[in-house]
Amino acid sequence: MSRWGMAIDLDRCTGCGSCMAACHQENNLTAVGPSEAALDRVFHWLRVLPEVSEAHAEVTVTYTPQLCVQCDKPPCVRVCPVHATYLSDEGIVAQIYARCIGCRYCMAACPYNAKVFNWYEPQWPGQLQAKANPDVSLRYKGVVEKCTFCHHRVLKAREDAALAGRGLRDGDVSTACEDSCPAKAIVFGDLDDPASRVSRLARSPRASRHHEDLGTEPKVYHLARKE
Amino acid sequence: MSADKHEFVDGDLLRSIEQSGVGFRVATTVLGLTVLTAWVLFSRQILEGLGVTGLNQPVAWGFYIVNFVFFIGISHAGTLISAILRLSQAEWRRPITRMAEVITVVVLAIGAFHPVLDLGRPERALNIFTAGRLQSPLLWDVSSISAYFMASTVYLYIPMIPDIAILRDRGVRPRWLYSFLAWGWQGTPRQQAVLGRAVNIMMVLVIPIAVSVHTVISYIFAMTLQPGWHSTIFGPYFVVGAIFSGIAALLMVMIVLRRIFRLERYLKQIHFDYLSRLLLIMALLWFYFTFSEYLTAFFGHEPAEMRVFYYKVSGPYAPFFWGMVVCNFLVPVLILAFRRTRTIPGIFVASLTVVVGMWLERLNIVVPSLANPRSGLPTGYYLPSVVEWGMFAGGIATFILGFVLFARFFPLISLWEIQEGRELSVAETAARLETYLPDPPAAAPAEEASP
Amino acid sequence: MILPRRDLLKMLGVGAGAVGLGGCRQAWSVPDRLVELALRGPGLESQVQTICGLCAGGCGLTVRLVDGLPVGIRGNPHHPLNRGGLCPVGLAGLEVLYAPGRLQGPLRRQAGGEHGATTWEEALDEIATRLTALTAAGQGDRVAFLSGEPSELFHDLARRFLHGLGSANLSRLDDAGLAHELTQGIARAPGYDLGGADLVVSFGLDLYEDGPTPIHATAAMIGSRPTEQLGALIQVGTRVSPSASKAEIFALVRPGTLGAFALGIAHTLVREGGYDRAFVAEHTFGFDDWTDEDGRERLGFRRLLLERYYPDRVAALCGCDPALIVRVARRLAAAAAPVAVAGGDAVRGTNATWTQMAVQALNALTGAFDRPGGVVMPPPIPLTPLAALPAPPAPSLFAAAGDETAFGVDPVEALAAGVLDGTRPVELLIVLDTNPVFSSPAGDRLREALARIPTVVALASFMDETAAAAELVLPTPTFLERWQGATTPRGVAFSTLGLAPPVVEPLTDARHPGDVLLELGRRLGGEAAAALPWSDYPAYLKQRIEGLALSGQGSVVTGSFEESWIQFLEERGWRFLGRKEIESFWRTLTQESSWWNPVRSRGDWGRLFATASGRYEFFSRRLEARLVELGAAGEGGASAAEALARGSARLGLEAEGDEACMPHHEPEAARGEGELTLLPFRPITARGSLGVTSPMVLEMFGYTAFSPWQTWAELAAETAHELDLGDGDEVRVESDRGHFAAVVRIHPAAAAGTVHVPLGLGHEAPGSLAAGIGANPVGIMLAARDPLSGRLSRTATRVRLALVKRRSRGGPPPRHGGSEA
Ligand SMILES: Nc1nc2c(c(=O)[nH]1)N[C@H]1C(S)=C(S)[C@@H](COP(=O)(O)OP(=O)(O)OC[C@H]3O[C@@H](n4cnc5c(=O)[nH]c(N)nc54)[C@H](O)[C@@H]3O)O[C@H]1N2
Ligand SMILES: Nc1nc2c(c(=O)[nH]1)N[C@H]1C(S)=C(S)[C@@H](COP(=O)(O)OP(=O)(O)OC[C@H]3O[C@@H](n4cnc5c(=O)[nH]c(N)nc54)[C@H](O)[C@@H]3O)O[C@H]1N2
Ligand code: SF4
Ligand code: SF4
Ligand code: SF4
Ligand code: SF4
Ligand code: SF4
Ligand SMILES: [Mo]
Repeated sequence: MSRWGMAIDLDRCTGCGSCMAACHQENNLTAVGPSEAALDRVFHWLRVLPEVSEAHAEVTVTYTPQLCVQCDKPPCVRVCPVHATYLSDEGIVAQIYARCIGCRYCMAACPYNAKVFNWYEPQWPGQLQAKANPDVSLRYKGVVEKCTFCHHRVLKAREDAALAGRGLRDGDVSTACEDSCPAKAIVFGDLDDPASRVSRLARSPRASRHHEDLGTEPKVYHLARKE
Repeated sequence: MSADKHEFVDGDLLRSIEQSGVGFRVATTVLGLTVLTAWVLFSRQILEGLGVTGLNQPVAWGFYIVNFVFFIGISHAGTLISAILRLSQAEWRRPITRMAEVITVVVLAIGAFHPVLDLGRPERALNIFTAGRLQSPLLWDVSSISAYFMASTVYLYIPMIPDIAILRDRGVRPRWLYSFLAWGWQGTPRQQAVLGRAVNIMMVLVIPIAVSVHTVISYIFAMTLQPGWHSTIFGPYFVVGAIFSGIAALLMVMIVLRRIFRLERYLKQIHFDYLSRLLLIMALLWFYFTFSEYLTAFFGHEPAEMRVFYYKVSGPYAPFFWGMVVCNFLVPVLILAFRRTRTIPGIFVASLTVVVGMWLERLNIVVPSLANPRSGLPTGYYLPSVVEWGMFAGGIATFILGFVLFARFFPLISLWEIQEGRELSVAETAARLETYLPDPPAAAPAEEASP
Repeated sequence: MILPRRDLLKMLGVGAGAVGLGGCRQAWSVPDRLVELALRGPGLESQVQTICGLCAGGCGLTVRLVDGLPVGIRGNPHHPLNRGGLCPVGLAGLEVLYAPGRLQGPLRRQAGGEHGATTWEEALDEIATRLTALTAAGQGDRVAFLSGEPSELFHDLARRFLHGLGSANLSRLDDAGLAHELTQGIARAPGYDLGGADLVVSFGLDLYEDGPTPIHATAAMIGSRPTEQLGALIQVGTRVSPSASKAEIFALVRPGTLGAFALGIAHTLVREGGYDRAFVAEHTFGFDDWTDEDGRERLGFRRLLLERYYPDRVAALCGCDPALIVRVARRLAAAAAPVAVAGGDAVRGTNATWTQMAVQALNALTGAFDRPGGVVMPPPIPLTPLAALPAPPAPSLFAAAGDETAFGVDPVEALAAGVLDGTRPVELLIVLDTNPVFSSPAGDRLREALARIPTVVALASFMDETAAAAELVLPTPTFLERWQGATTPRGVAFSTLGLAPPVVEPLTDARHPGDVLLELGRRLGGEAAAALPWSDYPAYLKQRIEGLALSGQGSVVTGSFEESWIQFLEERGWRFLGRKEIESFWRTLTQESSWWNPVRSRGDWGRLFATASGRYEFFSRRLEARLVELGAAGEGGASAAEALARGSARLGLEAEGDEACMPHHEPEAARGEGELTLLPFRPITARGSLGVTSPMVLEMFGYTAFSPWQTWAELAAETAHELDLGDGDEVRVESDRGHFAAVVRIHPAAAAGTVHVPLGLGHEAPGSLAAGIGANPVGIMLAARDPLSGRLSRTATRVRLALVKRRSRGGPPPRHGGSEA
């Protein structure tokens, strides 16, 4: 059994936004449009957030790709009244769209603001619907959704490996955001496999997790030079 | 025989039932239309989605949750207060318990519906029962609110039985309603004993339930890790706030109904005086809790907490925050602390500001914490939409409508309890007072004799 | 039954999706077509390699198809340019393909001025008839072609097409090599070996966001390196751009002073001896004082630097700390393989050419030419040469005329002005994949001019502003629907060729522009037809590829990057064994979509320095000659020195004499009234102009400024404070020419007195998703020229800000320490 995790190297990330776009395309997200955007309803499973710091009169900007950090102790799961979000045995916090009642309690409880809500029925202008990734189900109004760690890719990779008569190897599963990153800042893999790239990165002295003090046990590690 | 006596003495209490006038029809029409509008808006929300509200990311909760907490808070007026007063055998309670209990039932129904308004998929609300997770504070809420609703409905109903029997006996229409609800009450001693027992059991039962309701509502927030929410005093803080707003609402209801139904004979200065003192105490208590809550946050100076803190104290929510302090503390304390201003109009003003202030408090709790996410997002913004305002208005209209209808069909003041008071209280109280007083010196225990 | 493995997978994967979809349909609307497709059972899944054609960046990508319908795009991990990475716009490729508002078929302007449907037959007949009439009247040179298509392959064809008509009026909007011409004598910008450099000093070029190949730059500097060896970067610029955010030193300077900053560095290098003496001695000209043919003592670059560009003066010009200049210079001197590049702001001003010369001078001082990690010439792509054409039939419309500028004209402005004042009559104009009405500061005038040109033919996929002004609008397929032949992007150190067949049949009644030209050629007959003998565009491509196949150079990109390298070496070993078979090469190439050649011949100085001296010229003899020519015109008998001075004066230069011929700081000639300088920049979401047809791209547009679907105006905190503006306030940006609305964003570090506005929004052509979204800053720019290249400056407009409305929603991103754990 794998425990999926991710390492994001902020020293590499240029903030190019490709991970954001790749996730949007891979996971059948839709745009909400200008008027909805003006109401702060823009909708991404992964966002690239700028962070500005001013030290010694020098201004620096870092970009942090932020997605659901797939907490091992997920506050969102704890509060869901109907078991519509749960921690899978592989450590992925999943959503059951067909069960979610849309109370948004999980959104309110997630310290990472990783969840988004379908305020309206998703719109597919023109023929855009034709491009939907058939591996990922479409959502509808009134339910909460979030990064799935590209779970469908895990499934596919596992089947592929099984047919090849072997288990999963490091690198067999890649997420859409990882694939598209020109800086190779994102590494996905099995944290339980001590030899995997991601576990090695997670052990790096540059690695830390967001809001570690909250005890949510994220499985997304951010790497950055420490001053 | 006894019925005749009531008729004679307290016939004015039945006027609204026996001769409902134009006022009733106008009021029900206006209120009914408002409620209908709210339902139309709600159906629009169901058809189009929650997008018709002003909610967004990160402010995913707004008016519906604010009003949910607010209405449920108001509901504490009733059953809890009436139970406490009954339990403590406060004799002055007699004319007010009924109104308090009605507030609870009506407002609780409204409040409890609010989370449904807030659902993205209201048609799946029953998933709570089919797939409910008991670990979720939302489930605790569902359980304790339904328990409270049932308990308070029963608690409202049981003491109403003798009054309903009076209405039945007087042949008030619709007869089937009264004869059905009177449940064969004949006022036999056995029946009276059972009734007394039932009331006693309910009033003991209802207090912990009521306290639990607002405690678990606070847990919805306190169980998360969000800055401004994750606080251990939230339980008692919410309960105090609930009782506070409940008393204020009760006072307002009393003052208004006294005026409309000319109940001056029953609701006397003393009732307002006692209740407003209680309100004053609650204002101080509320201030104490608020102060503790914000002082600890400020002293800890955690960045995430401070962001929310400043957002309220000096940021965009400053008008609401300071408005809350003024409404919940300054105005009521200034008015109620002085006998000169503790007049009925004064009390009305104080109660009104407390109700507004407590609503602001709920707003201050729900929105700022969500608007200031930890995660590095920019500060959020929330402006309720017409739909949300409409539903708020609908909620208030439903509340008033509930009272209008109740007053149309049932006495607002418990006839039999007043009667019982007239007949028994004086003697009983005298006897009880007797027991409070120091025993005569002869009876003093020997040990207590000074060496 | 035994299922082949792939099929089983498809069933599992796609079938799982289908279950989800079927479930959806009962509850809520899911596109019916999708449900049907999914319910139909196992989809046939396949993958094809192609090239992203949304900008000139040339990234390789893999398209995933189910039942022949594209459902996914990924970067091609084997592609040497992007190595798997893509930009957000490339990732939106499918949204562009399926976008609402695509041109469905040919349109012709009707009597009322509206466009109405027509057929290809009619449209082509009409064009052919007009062309025939023009050539018959000897007015073939009144045909012009504006192209935004990046491919050299295509332009070879277009050039022949025009030539057959007797016209040389082809303008590609993106040739920007004057500084190279003046100092190196080469017409095409060289490449920069970012992958091999250990330090890149970038002047104004936002390597990772703007620039010709941001994804390649990111892959080369970061993506393909281990963490310990990430490419070091020093950024000189006017705002904290994404590359500035990655820079180890970020030097914030006033706009228009980037060249001065480079000269300050050069000064320090020279004074401290931190330059490559051997290279300077061997391969450069004009470093030390020199004596000319007439025996005159001339100023050398060294003395110019030492006398004029000491750090204190430069720092005063740039508005920075002198120590910063020294620090950057020492860091540069200490690097083993540094390279300097210019772009963005630096190459858009009225002093752009000198700025580029100043930056290139750093490369000469550090001996970066022809060195790994330096400035190199990518090997030529050995395409089959086309039969030589006779001498140009007539001088190009777009060549410099008159003497307002030294070397060139802005093509859009020249076309507009020439048509409007009748000096350059144009009877028929073809516009392909470019939207100058929108993107050029002379766009308004061009629109007027288009109305005067009897026939304007727009080849475009969407109705943009330029197409809206055209008489005939002929739909072109988007990149996934067309044959592509992308040649090496500008600035890349190796050569690439992206060649790919269409991934899907065109969804609209669109035709490839190459096929349109070939068809027109056929209809014209005679010389024009003879110059274009190919049956269709793929046939043309195939013929050009033959040379490549036979050359045995380079390698088709297959398998992993490393594998392809090994294969490449093997192939080099096989080269002498003889010719390769064209059919199989063609098959492999079109299947794998890319060819590349990373092997540069070293020491081929002739390709690098084609100047008269055969050296890199700090002192540009060509520039000198032109200035003298300008100064001497009509003033017979003036001495060379006088003529040079007069020539410089004539162009309005501040420098006089020898300094004018060398990299120097020429103050930016700002235009208009206002307290701020308007500086446009291109966010990555504004790559390839078709990006704005994608809802996702528009929604992401200002993702780092929290400004989706919106044009924002970046102000430095102190500037905002002075103007009493806050984050989120709505303002009107006004120049002497016009105004637009924007939302203020306080930027962590931007030069005081500047306002940075993103390009890419503000379209008005109706029917487009982007219509009415945001604002186009180009629309208020005032005309100011680089006196050498004639190009319109984009950095010279002064503007004022007027508050429209205080912030109503949202708030600024939290600052440091605010909330992070
Ligand atoms: N302010 C400012 N202005 C500039 C510049 C600048 O840096 N700053 N740069 C200048 C330069 S260097 C250039 S090259 C020009 C660029 O200017 P243009 O070449 O005009 O490029 P765009 O504005 O990007 O518009 C290109 C149009 O071509 C079409 N198009 C683009 N790609 C495709 C495609 O793949 N298929 C089809 N069918 N159609 C396509 C679209 O209709 C699009 O509207 O802008 C110039 N203008
Ligand atoms: N987001 C976005 N990015 C784009 C485009 C877009 O539409 N959107 N369009 C692309 C287009 S069409 C263009 S023209 C480019 C222009 O944008 P830039 O790349 O900023 O400008 P160029 O001057 O063309 O720079 C190209 C490279 O060649 C070098 N270079 C070119 N000419 C010279 C020169 O004379 N001297 C020196 N020293 N160096 C030189 C530059 O240093 C740089 O490394 O941007 C491309 N990038
Ligand atoms: S794709 Fe990579 S470099 Fe670009 S923003 Fe995402 S993590 Fe950063
Ligand atoms: S990041 Fe948020 S959504 Fe993701 S698992 Fe943790 S609490 Fe849940
Ligand atoms: S919104 Fe859905 S997933 Fe989230 S807590 Fe409510 S029911 Fe659970
Ligand atoms: S892991 Fe997959 S779902 Fe999660 S952010 Fe990346 S692309 Fe999106
Ligand atoms: S738009 Fe340009 S940079 Fe982006 S993926 Fe396509 S070719 Fe690459
Ligand atoms: Mo360009």
